[in-house]
Amino acid sequence: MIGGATTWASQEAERAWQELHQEPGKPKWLDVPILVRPVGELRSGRIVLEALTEDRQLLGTCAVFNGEWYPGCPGSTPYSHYAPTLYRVLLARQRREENEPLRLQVLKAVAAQTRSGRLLPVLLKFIIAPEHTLTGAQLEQVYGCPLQVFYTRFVGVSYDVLRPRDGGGDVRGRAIHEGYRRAAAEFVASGDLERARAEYLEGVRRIWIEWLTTLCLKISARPIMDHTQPLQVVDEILSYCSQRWEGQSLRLYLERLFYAPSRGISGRADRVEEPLGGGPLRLVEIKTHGIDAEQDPQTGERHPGGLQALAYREILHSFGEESAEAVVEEIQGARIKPLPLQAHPLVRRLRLDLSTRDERVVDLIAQARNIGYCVATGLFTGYDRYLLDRAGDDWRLRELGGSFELLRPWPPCQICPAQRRGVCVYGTRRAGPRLYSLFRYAPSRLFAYWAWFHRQLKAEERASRELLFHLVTTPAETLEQSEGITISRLRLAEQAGLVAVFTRDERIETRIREDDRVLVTPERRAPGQIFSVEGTVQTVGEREIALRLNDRVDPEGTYRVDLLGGYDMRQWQLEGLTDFLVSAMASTGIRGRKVLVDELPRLARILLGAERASPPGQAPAPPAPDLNATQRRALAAVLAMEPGDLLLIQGPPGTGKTSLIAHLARAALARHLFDYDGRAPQDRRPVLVLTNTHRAADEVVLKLLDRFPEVAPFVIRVGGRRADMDERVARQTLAERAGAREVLGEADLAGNGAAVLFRLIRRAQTYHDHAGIFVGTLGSADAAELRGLSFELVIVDEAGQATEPAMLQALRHLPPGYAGRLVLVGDHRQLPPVVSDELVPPPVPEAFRQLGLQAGDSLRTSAFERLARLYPHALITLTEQYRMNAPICSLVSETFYEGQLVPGTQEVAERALAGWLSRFGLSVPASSVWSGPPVVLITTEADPDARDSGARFIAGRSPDEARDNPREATIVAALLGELIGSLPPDWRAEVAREIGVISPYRRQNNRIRQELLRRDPALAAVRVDTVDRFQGGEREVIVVSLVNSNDEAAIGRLHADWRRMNVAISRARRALVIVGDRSTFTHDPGRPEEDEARRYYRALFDGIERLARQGQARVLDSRTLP
Amino acid sequence: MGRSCAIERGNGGQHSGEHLADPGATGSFLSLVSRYRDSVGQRRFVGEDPVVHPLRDAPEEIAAAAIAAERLGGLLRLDGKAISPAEDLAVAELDAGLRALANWDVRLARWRLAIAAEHAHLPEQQQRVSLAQALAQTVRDVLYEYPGQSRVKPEAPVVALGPTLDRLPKEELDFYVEEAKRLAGLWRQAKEDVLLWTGWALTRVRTILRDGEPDAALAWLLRIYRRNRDRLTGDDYLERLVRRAEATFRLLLLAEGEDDAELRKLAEDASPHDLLVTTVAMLSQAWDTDVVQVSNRFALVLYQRTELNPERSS
Repeated sequence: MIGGATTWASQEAERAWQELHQEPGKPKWLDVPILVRPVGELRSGRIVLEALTEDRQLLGTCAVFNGEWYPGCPGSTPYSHYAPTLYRVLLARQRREENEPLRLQVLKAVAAQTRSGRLLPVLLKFIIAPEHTLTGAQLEQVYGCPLQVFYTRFVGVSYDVLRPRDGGGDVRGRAIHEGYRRAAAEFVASGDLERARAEYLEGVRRIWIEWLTTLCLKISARPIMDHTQPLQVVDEILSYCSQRWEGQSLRLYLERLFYAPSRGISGRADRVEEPLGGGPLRLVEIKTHGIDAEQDPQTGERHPGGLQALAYREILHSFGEESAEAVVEEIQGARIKPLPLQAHPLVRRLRLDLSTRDERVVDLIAQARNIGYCVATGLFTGYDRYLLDRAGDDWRLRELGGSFELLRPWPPCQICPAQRRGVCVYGTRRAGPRLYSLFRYAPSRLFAYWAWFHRQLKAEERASRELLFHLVTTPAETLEQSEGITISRLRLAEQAGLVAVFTRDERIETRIREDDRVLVTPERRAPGQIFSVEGTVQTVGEREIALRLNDRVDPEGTYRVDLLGGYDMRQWQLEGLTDFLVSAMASTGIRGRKVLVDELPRLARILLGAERASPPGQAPAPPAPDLNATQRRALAAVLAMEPGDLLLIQGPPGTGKTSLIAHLARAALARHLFDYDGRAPQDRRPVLVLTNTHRAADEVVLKLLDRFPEVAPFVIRVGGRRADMDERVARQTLAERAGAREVLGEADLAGNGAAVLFRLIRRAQTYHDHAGIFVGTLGSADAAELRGLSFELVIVDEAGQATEPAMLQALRHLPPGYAGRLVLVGDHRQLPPVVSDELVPPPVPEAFRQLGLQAGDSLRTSAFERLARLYPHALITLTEQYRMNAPICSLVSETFYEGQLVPGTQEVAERALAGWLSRFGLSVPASSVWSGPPVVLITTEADPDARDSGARFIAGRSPDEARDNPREATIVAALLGELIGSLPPDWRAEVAREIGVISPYRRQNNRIRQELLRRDPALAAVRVDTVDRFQGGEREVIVVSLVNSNDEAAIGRLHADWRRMNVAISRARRALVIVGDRSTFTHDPGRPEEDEARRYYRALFDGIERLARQGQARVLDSRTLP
Repeated sequence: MGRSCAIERGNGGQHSGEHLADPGATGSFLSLVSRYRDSVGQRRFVGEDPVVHPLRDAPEEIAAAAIAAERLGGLLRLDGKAISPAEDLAVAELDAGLRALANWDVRLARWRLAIAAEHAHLPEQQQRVSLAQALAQTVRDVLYEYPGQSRVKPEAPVVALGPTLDRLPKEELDFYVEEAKRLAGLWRQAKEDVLLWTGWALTRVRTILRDGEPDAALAWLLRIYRRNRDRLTGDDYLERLVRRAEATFRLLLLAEGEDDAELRKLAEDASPHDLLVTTVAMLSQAWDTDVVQVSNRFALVLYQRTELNPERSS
């Protein structure tokens, strides 16, 4: 909390503290935030704390006792969780050496009179660390089984992807939700039932197309409930809408995010109804299944969603909507059963009184929230092997208190992956032996490896869990100007469907970028107060931002847009990492004792540095005349691999990695088809290619289709159709191959939809049965297309950009015991994995040298880089490149690849800008920088106007160093204006499309775009982007703007990773221009962490000088340019 | 050990032979132990599993380090060697756990075995504890699941685990796998075989009585009586005891406001112990076999090593 919010909270705390002392012995409801730190030795039964206000003013000493007891209290509360959970949190923070005070939202406290007559404030009820947000669904999970939360949310145990797992019920629920959502919106807007019906069916159709592959996992002889229920219930839903809303004037808020900073809870209720004529808000949670359900004490019926609805109601109450009602609408068969919260079994059984502020409601929510926080963040066990194993002794986690004792007889094991994997003690009904004492019996090296990466992933998660609190408690102005994560004073300019364009008069300077997840909120409200709508950024312009929203917004008023972050990849990375621990242990065939590292499967030993990877072998490879010698060597080496082998293929820029992967896939498919000995199980397939990005996966598919059209029937692109997907790639998705869009698009869903869907599923299953090459992203390891399948060969593309836990996803689809072949293709001299800037990696233990890790390494160090260090003999480097002409290649090769890289053909080596333009009958402007050698350096060190602006947005939780350099932008625009201006107007845009401008800073890129547009509208076609977004791309002409130019020789965090420069300059085919201040990059300011980068920059500029001496480069002083 | 260790026999005349702890010295020694424990706890919390070693070569440091290692279930480094100081404790807890299992006390057994698991460091011992934990599940299922349910496979945890326990002597392992199968087989047979069922139900009664639940024991004894009614006719005393037991439950069925003084008197006299003794005697007579022995067949038989001391015998 900073600024006004802090002061206000501090005043509230001081006021509450004084009030408390005015009525000694009388417990009072406070609901204020304070900060606390333990005083003296931490004891479990009585915790003594020093209390501070948010702005660190001392309030005094206070205490917390077990059972919500206080001196003078006639009794205590059995099963109270507050003190035991707080004790574990404080103890964990001590052990982590976290000295910052802990925030508590104190709900209830008392100024108790001690025997000595002194007044001692005793905290009775509180939310621990409310800045950490848990969702309503997570609270429901804690309530169901705290141990399951421990295993799934903290440890990261996930299902075994080699075992088929049905997801039909999930799709059924999604279809009903989507249909219902659309029908409700339409009916409230138009009052037309037929249009609402059409919208419902369209929603079901959309979900069926999107999730067809999941429906394929279940084989049935006829349509089943998963197929029929969404259609059976349509009449009931429409009738219900009509009964409730006919003639009513109301506003619906659909799937809005709401958040209570004082409770640390967020959620997305399916629907909130606001009567426009006045009246209470009505919150609706829709449930289509009830595995994890509460039993009614009077009828024995089970009903789900009670705690979730209770939590959402509490959130509404926390921002003043005291009269809000909550309803759980259960959809059972063809019926809707609305169950008001007061009639829900959870409320009836505990006899909660919802008409008043019943503290037991808060207790119930606070218990799930606090225990969930303690467990999911790892504060309960940390990485103590003994505690990790002991946690499983009792599913109620009794050490944390809590009245789970009374709530359920048995946890919902049937939906728990820890039970299926044999990790949880309650999983005794599983086949196969349990993993006794998994954490203690894991080899030290395996456990240390797991814990080291796990800690970093959890640290990243923590930052994202605290983001909402930060947004709500920090003034919007600070968020916008210092951190760049908010854009305020926006007005809705246009809204077409769910796409909305917001504009404002002032320039937009922000870190928010395309594809970011954002929250749009009317400025009169704080983010998260039901009026906020989530969305995804489509474009960010100079004064406008276009978003795809989850719900429509009101055209009136001004809005703010807040950054919520990108797609959260941590959970699946966590699962990949933990799967490695569990699978490696499970496949040893040893149980019940400490396992030695030598007893792990071979591939696990190789990854852990306990066994050397084999040097590449050579097997007979099919003829591949379009491959060069090193590519053929790599192909032969892959075909010679034995099960359990690892091979690394380094592909510097333009060396044909994707072509090679296409050859590898085809060769492996051919071997599988023609050399099949009948012994491999049916669920074994030849090749899985996993990439770090969708773009790379699409390129692999395209390359396969281009080079080997005959394999198309065997190729499946994992996942669904995306807007930016090439049409040919989209046709390789399973849904498209089965013709889902056409078949369902033409079907009369209301008439025979279930039968049509059933036939479609059977067709898709047939295609799936015959597929042999699957291509997806690392995040899709648990995708429906891949469930139950193992692969003889798994290839990871862009392995240099994948974090180690992300790469481990690839291992999940190797046959049991990792008895398959793993090939990592990447280049550790290009961009590393994208990791939060805030990450402070734990120290690298000395013993990690055996793993190839060294000081300074972190999650940002890819497995490819680590393993290339560890096993240089298992690395094949592709050395012939097909992109850059000889001078550019030489510069890249000498600077970054020890001179190994050479042009693949004479044609490539001799590429020139003039030659390319002449193909179209064009020529380069005479006497310009474009008419000389292909490499140009425009130095600005002597140019006083070419200084950078200094860093912006360096405050806040995720600092982003935003710099710009107007002079460099002018130079870039002038150079390109000169080139384009010399061409006939008809050709300008065509040529501009083959030009790229790269700088590491978005701020500079925005400036360059504006300068280009001022010069010539045709220059709008020039791609101006950051290095990170340019990786994988190439252009005939590349201009690099270095930006950093200052007396401190500050090259910034982005340039400090020299690999960005390698990527930037290696995008050019025919011409490369670098604009920047050489001295800023080569001067030694005495910052050892930049030494390595500066060595590379010196080599780069020396290389340009060398080329200049050979007549292949020019060095110009920027002052000679306009 | 005893002969080679120096053991202090008393405090001489100062305390008339009584050993009294010195509060100050005890406090400072325990805070030394606590420092070791905290230090290890802190390092464990961040993912390490340190071996405890004395920070100085002083007796109190060595003692404190040894005690901390023992309490934490960790290893102790002495003279460059890693020692498992609580291995004997692990053995003792394992034995106690197995004995509890043999007496059908699953809860106690699990508790003891959890302690044993935390303290065992030698691979053979670790696997022995793991096997006992699997046996605990088998015994639990045999005891608490109704005989012969198809979804329950009491022997499965042990049978599945067996082949993975590579450090246990084959004879011991085979013994327990067979024992699990034997118990599961008996349990399945008990579904149809009335005598076996009776033995199984008697086992339930014995464990229930041990846990102090007399009404529950009465209920199980009545079930035994009903299942064997045709064999237990003609004994007035038994009939009287049964009527008393039935009265306990019939009282619960009275309508609101209704009272039955005779029933209440009968219920007050109900005694599960009396009923058990008489039922056992009558059943043994009727079946012409000691039904307690039939019940005992559901007890886990413990493996006994035949070599008393391998080192000495070699």
